[in-house]
Amino acid sequence: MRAATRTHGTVQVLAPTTLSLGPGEAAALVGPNGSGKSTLLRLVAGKDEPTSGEVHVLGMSARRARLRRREDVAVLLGGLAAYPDLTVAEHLRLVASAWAGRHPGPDVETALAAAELDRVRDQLPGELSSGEGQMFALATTLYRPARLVLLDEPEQRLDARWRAVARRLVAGALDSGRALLVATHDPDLRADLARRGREVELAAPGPR
Amino acid sequence: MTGAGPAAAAGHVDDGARVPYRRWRRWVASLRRRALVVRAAQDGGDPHDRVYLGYGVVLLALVYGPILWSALAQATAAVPLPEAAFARAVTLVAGAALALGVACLAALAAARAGGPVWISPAEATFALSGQFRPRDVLRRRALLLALGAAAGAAFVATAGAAGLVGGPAAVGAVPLLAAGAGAALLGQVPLAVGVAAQTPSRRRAATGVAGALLALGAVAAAVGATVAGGPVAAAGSWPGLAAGTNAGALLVVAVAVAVGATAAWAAWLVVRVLPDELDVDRAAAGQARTVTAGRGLVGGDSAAVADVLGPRAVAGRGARFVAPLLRRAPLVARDLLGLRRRPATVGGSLLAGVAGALAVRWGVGGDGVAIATVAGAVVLYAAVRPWADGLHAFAAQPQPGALLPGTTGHAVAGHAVVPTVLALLVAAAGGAGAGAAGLVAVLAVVLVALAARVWVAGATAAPPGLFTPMMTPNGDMSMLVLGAWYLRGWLVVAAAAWVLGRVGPGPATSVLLLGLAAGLAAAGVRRFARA
Repeated sequence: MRAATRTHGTVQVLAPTTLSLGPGEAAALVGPNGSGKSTLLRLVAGKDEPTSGEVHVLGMSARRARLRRREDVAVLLGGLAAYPDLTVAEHLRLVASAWAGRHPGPDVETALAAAELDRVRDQLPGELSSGEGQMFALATTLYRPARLVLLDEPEQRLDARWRAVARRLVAGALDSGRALLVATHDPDLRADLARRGREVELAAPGPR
Repeated sequence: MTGAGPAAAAGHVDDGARVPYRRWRRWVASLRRRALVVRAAQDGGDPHDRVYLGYGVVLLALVYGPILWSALAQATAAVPLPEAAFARAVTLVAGAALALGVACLAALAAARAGGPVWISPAEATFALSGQFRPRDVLRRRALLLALGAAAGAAFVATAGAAGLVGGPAAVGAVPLLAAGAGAALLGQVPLAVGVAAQTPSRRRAATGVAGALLALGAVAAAVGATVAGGPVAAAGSWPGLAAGTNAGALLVVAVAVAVGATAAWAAWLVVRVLPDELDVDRAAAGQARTVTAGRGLVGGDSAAVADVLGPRAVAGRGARFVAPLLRRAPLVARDLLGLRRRPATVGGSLLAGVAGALAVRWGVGGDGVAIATVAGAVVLYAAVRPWADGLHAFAAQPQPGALLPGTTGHAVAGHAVVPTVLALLVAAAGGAGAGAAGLVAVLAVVLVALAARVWVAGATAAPPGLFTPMMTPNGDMSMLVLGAWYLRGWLVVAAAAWVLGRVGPGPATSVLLLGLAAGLAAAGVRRFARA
């Protein structure tokens, strides 16, 4: 990402930002609300285009990468791609089967245990509590293979115990060699990511 | 709580200590009136806006009501009637039972969406949390609903009767009045079914009544088709009704008494009995969902209606993936599991699909009518929806297919397998024995309905351009265009079926419809990819 900005009308929602991320590296996007963390993730995910500057992902423009390199980018922005009539465990089974041969593991039961979702393994997404739903979304997103993972505030709606679980899952993804770009307000997750890569502090929004 | 009598022990307020609801309501109404006047004065508005709104609604009804009535009469005039009196009577019973059954189904759906007795969340809190008798609070709206059901049923029945006997000019006032009065009475049945479905203890009975009416209609239709056998009478040759005479006068009186008694019972249930048993909180939640969905629709979000009927019950929790299929075709296994978890819906939709295919087959046959083709295609389009549930769930995801490998096109294709197989089965069941041309016509309509589902699923938000004011001599038509966008799938399928009905089956029509289906499916996939 080189000097990328995003402006809606007369409001600049992302100040010029330059960032590069290599394989297996992590970056924590931090900054107050409105500083452009989610906007930056949307630009990298190819769901939006910069007003100025450029964003390249896996050697091509982010917009193009969204269409051509879907298999290499896992995204958790604004909710999980869930099916309302499949249980938690069935979602993981579906992911494991769909990626068969390219899925590095672990198996479904181990993944559920790692995310502490065993108790709700047979519940539908609509039956989960708010925190359980967030953990399910994070666990499922990290369960699919990818070279780059984009997470928007994965700690939201999680209590202290589950925030620790979320940090373990994120660390596991880094251990498996993925690049992670994570917007977060959680100081512990921020510190973990900074230890494994860098911290990108986005500027506070100007007066409104 | 005061006193130690049985009522107090049961937690009820002593009836003598209750504030009469009507007095309280008058006080609330005066408060609201005053607040309205103050608000209007502050905002520079007109406190009589509601009067103008009512005036506008009445004016619209007076302008468009007769047009709708004539259209209904014309549509019914296309329905052929058997010549024999018995067969005609059976056909009439079948039509009435099916119409009532469909109205009951609509009432059951309304009960899930917060109707027919509407209760706002504020009312549930301030008027229906135990301080007043529900039947006192709801009496006026129950009476209004009964009158509305009577008026609506009479409107449809008089138009239908006029159409069946060859137009308003060919039918006397007495038969029209008789049809209207009978329908007004029978119209209370679907209303009672809907209100009963709003009560926890009578929901199952309400569903049973709807099912029984549909079954009666289906049996009567089958009997009618069997006994009709002979030549089809042209519309307008119904001497029994036109002359106002009937050989079985006693039977007519008995039927009239039965209809009157049923209607009186249904109305008594709606006004007097059922309001006290209503699940008030559920009704209020349904109304809140409906209001939210309405706002979403006005804002261009067609997915807003998905939640109107509330959380869907998922049965078949014991069902599991078919393991070999999951390994080879995960999305097919997913969709199959989804179907097994909604057996009643899927079974009903398959039956409806076969009925729709049969209607299309009859419509394109030698003695068929175009309206049957259109009606069959519309039923098929509705029936396809549960089969394509996986595709719609895929479309509703924030990042469609984000968890799965492959392109969007592959994912859409994976989700299209199960509905396509079901569509082919339905087409085969409906078109079997119809000859090659008939079978291909049925198949083409089924595929157009399926492709239209893919096309519609690809976009749930209306394009912003549709909200641009579109000034015409009749005013701003942008809302009409937005409505057409919401109904685009239904409109395309109905139009394709109408062309098929008018032109008739043949290679050219089949190629046209199959080309349309391919185009719709391709457009849907492109939209998914852009999402």
